[in-house]
Amino acid sequence: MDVLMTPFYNAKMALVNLENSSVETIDLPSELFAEHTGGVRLSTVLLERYADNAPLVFGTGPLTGSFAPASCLMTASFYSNGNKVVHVPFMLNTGPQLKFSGIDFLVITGRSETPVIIELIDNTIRITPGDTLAGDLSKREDLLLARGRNCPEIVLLTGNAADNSSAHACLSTGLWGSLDKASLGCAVGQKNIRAIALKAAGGIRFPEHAIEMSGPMASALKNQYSTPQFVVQKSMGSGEAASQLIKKHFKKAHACYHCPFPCMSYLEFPQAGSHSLFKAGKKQGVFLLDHEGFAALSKKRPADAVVLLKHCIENGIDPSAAAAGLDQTTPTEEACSHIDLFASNHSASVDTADSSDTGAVSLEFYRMFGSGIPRIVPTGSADEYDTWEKKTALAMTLGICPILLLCFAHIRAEDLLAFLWSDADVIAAAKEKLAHAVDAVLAG
Amino acid sequence: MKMKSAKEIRDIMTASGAHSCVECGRCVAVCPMAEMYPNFSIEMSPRGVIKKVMMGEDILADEYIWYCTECNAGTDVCPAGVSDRDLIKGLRQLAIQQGTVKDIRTCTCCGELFAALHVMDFITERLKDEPKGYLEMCPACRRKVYLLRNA
Amino acid sequence: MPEAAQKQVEYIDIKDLRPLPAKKKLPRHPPVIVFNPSKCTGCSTCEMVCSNRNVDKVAPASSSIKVLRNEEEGKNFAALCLHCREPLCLEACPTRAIDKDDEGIVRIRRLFCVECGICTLACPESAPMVEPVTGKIRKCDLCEGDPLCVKHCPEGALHFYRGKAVGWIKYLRWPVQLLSFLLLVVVLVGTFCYFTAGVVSLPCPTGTLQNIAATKHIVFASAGAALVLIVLTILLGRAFCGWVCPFGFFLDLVGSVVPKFGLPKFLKSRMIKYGILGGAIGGAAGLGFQPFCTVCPIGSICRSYGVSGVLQGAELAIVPAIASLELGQRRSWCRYFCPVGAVLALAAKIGLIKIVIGAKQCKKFSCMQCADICPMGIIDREALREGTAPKIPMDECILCMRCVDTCPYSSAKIRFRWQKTIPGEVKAWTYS
Repeated sequence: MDVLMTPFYNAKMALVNLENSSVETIDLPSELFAEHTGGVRLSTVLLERYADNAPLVFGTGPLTGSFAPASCLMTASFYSNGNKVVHVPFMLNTGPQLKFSGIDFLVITGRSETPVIIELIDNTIRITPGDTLAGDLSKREDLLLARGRNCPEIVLLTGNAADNSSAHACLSTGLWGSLDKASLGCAVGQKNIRAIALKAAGGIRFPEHAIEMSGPMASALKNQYSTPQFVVQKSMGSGEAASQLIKKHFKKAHACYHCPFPCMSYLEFPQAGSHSLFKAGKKQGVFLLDHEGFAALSKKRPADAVVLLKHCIENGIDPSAAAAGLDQTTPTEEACSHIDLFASNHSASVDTADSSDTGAVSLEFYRMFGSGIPRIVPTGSADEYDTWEKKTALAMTLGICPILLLCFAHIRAEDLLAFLWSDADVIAAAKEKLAHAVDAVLAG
Repeated sequence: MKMKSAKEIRDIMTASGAHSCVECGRCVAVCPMAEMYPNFSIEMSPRGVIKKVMMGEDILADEYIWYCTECNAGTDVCPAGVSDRDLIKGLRQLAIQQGTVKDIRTCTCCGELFAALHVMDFITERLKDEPKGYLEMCPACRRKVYLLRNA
Repeated sequence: MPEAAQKQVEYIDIKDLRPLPAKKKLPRHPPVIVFNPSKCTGCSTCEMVCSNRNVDKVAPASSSIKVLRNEEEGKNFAALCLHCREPLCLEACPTRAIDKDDEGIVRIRRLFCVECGICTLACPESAPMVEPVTGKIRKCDLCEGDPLCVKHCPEGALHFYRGKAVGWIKYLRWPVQLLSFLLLVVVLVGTFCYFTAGVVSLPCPTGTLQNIAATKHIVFASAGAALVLIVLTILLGRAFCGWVCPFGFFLDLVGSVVPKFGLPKFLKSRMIKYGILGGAIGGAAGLGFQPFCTVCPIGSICRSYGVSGVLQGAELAIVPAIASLELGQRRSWCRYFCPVGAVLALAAKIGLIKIVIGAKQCKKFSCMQCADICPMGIIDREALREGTAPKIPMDECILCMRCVDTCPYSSAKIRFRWQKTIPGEVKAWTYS
């Protein structure tokens, strides 16, 4: 039985060639989806197709934007050092914003001479000059968002670290930070892309029966989730320090697109030097998207990990790498300048994955998926996707956030496919195709 | 200056398909400006604007291009496929670029031009004695400010 | 066209073809979606289901509700149509395409909408959403009574609510006002008014001040008694004006039946009452008697009953003459002219309690019932339009608590002055 994924896609990709500033929209044949399902599997196929021009593929899965929980995923695939394929996940509403713009896969090849912004606003792709974007990430974002009617919904930003070609630069989602610890930021910076701005004007038809399913599934998940520290407590690499800090600074919970499990906390802390004897100081805050990075910082410097996390995000540098070079005892300001220095140093290189005990999670696969996804062993899995890498590959192929599937391991592949079809035979056939795709992804 | 803008005006006319105008007047018939302005005349309508450009008049300094609400009702009924919104938007942007217009209303927050002066005056007048602080902001900024005050 | 025919053609415009609906009684408990920002996680599920209903696709750009995020402060918000009691979009629409039905739902009639976007520009929240590319206007219509966003929000941040006002405060206040009227006017005639201060005296502070100025010495017993009212005002604000003053009760009665025509601008200054107070005291000092007390309407009422009252035809005429100010604005005497109120206002300026409105669940510009019902007119409509919480000047508030009584969303509250002015996170959010 031929299972078609194309109803859940636009069946289009965009090819942006930075060498000659050209933008092309190419139709994707349905056979491609029938064979490869989508997500990172199809991204890999496209990477191979455009391999000779330093390709970078932003992709979505069939479930991206659908009524399945946490259907937020957009993945960035590229050839990292040593020519290995690396896939980095992006959360919030990046995936739906890309897909609803009419583009399932955005392929960027070549390198631009001058700094550029790739804009996908109101379903039109444009390459616009980006030389005004400089400084802290908040400044850059303010410049991008100050556009009235054409204000982008979500932006992907590089920071100072990427401008200086640091190996630990990351591509951040707005001011939320990123799960990019595989030098994607550096690759994007080398292409001279300062930002990618998304604002969708279209949509995709998803089956109506899924709406009724998403409510009960959300309630079931919510009963299990209890605290904002849920993710760091479950993850192997994290620990008490991170958990305590979250408890102390927690202000508000935030969730990604259609996710009932708000794992991103907004942590508040007082602005240095702003309080006096008589009044409480001004508060500022930072989002906790990168649980692993925050854990690394809290282990080293529990007193001011939150402040330093914000500083890392503003510089566009990976907090895990920055933490490796920090001392336990230096005052906060000195630690901040150390981070600034680290961000401007293009030759500094730290292997973050090695420094922590990965144990039950294979290092090779951890690196394949960007070295940033929390290492949560999916105990209690109900189907054959019972290891970290299988669950993560499943998520990245379907277009669902991997953190959700790792935390709630009882969710099976067929439960997710049920959001696309109601016929059990169709779901079974899709599941088989999916299994092939996942195996192919893990094979590299 | 005049020569340069002539070419650009021609480009706008081509892009919006205004050269195809057959002067049928359907756009004038559906135009909501008739309900808004007591001095509504054919000059304000898309048909009138196109006619003026064809006649070679200085459209960029003309005040009549600043009455349109960009609703696109004219485009919906046009038998020749002229896109009225593109035409007016293009002419307005050009007028701002060339500096031929003095009084435009931009958002106090983000600086974008979000509505024509006469349209905002119409709204102000319709809302009678209600105060107008928020009217100076574009819709996106208005929502952002509302968030800051209420979230 | 022939001359004769031309003359007969009349100018017909939108007002003739689609007249504005007649001013009908506003629904008492209109349905509305109330949003709690502290629970919102920004997941956009509401946008998904709303757009699915609008265009049969999951397309956040086509939804009637928009999720906003502020990354600097970590806040989320959902902007949606609040179905105002007096919709601004309805007033502004050039083709009269927007109407409000008997239930209170504000709808755009597709047949007449030309998508000019003027409704979006008129709304303080820009709630009619303009779809990019096509320019279609999509406005919430409460899903005809069963809103999808409310059903599907995983955090329960949206509630479909008709509002329930407190409602019973007026049943407390009316008996108190009536009782005090009876006591001060009938039973203890003239008690309040210093003019005929009897054995039991609770003298008027303004009268006391005039008396001191006129006679140049203080009778400590009476001054002390006058101070009682001042101290009570410092503790409770101008509750005397709202709950005890017999003339105030009379004005409330009159004001509830007469129509309002507004006052000329030069009369509408709150400082006039301080001027009258100053003039009364200065006049007392110069003339040696109490000038204001002879014309005081409160005194006239207090002294008017029965044999022991000083009844003179001219004096009795004062009361209806001053009460006719109610034809201008509610309690206009109390707002602009009453010198007793002026003294109490000075005391209330340093008062202990305050009325707070504008909590997070306040519907701001879309409701404004408190602003409409406040007899002293001190709730700032402009602040509500701009989405901020107005500061209530407690020296003008007569603590009638009509605002607290009327607010359907528990957003008007009474607090101590040192408590946080704008109520912050609303922890216990219950509806009945």
